[in-house]
Amino acid sequence: MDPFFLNEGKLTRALYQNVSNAGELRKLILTAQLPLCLLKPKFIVDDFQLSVAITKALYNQKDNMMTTKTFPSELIYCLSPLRNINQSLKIFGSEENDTDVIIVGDEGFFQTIKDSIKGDEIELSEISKFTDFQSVIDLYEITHEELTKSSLLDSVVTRMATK
Amino acid sequence: MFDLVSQGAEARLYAGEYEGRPVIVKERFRKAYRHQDLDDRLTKERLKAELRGIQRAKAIGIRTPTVYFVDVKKNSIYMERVEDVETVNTTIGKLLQESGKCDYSKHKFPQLEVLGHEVGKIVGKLHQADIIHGDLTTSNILVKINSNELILIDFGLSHMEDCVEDKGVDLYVLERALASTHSNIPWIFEHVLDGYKQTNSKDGIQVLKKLDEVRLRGRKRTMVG
Repeated sequence: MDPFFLNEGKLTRALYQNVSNAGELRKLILTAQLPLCLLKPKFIVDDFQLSVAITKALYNQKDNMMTTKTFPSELIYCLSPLRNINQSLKIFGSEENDTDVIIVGDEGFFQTIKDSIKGDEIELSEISKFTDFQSVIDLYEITHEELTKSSLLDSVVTRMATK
Repeated sequence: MFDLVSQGAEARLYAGEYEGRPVIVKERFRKAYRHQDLDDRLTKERLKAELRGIQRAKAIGIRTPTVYFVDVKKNSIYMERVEDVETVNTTIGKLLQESGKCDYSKHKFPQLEVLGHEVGKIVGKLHQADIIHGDLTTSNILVKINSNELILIDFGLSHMEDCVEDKGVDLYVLERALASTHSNIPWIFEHVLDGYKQTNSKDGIQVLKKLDEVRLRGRKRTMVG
């Protein structure tokens, strides 16, 4: 049996802190229409959450089954528990004054803007340093009862995968 | 590498890994004897029901496998492969064998009493939230080895229903499953019902009354239409 994700291309993921030009990077990516996703680490609990969203987004992209128009927005849509695309982009997408960002996308394109990033790259394993756990619980509507038997990551990921 | 683990009437199970985590893939396959359109619809419905069931049960604090990915074209669910588990069926069998006794009467198996109670509690919790599992057999309830932690699986036939009738039938299916695989310990179901009453404060008592009626009818039918 051949699972879908064994054949998917490897995407780059990077976490940056002390970023001073999030707004500039955003504009750069949008204007050049680069297939890079700039997100807030606030709603990301773990790198695995990104993996699950990436797998889903790539799967949707494969046969033109995306709900959104581009891969970066599809990635955000796959992360989001909401069915509204615009709201999802507003919630997860990086904003002008953000000082921490996650970038996900094709390695080649990432290299083209890497030098423009004014910030410090840190290990993805540090993601939870920036997680706003209460916001995650509120956004994904996870109850206290659920967390008695499930980890936050498991609850988030199940919602994403079954949307 | 994904290896075939088992093949049931509805689906094949494969074991493998995803991002370093043990995974089980449940692939529902086509039934050639069915008309294709009907088959596609049924399979998709089962897939949706399973995902909904897993999600809803999880939301009320019942342990279910975490879903990682759904391949809708292949009707496959990629989910957490919980390690160190066995079916309740196996656990009961082991406990009975270990004792080496020929005496299967009550009070000789306190572990089984607790297990039965725990099973009842989990079903009660499900029914309190109006979730009908639809296929409560001892193979669909997993136990973490050497503990009483239960994991519920196989929600393909689940649905939401607040009527007492469906809950009664749900319990009856479990009763029949236990009776057929472990007929030497008929008292175990009493413990299941005790656990059930404890957690289904919504309509537990009415369901147990309905269960008596369902038993008299003898088949898992709702007798509608």
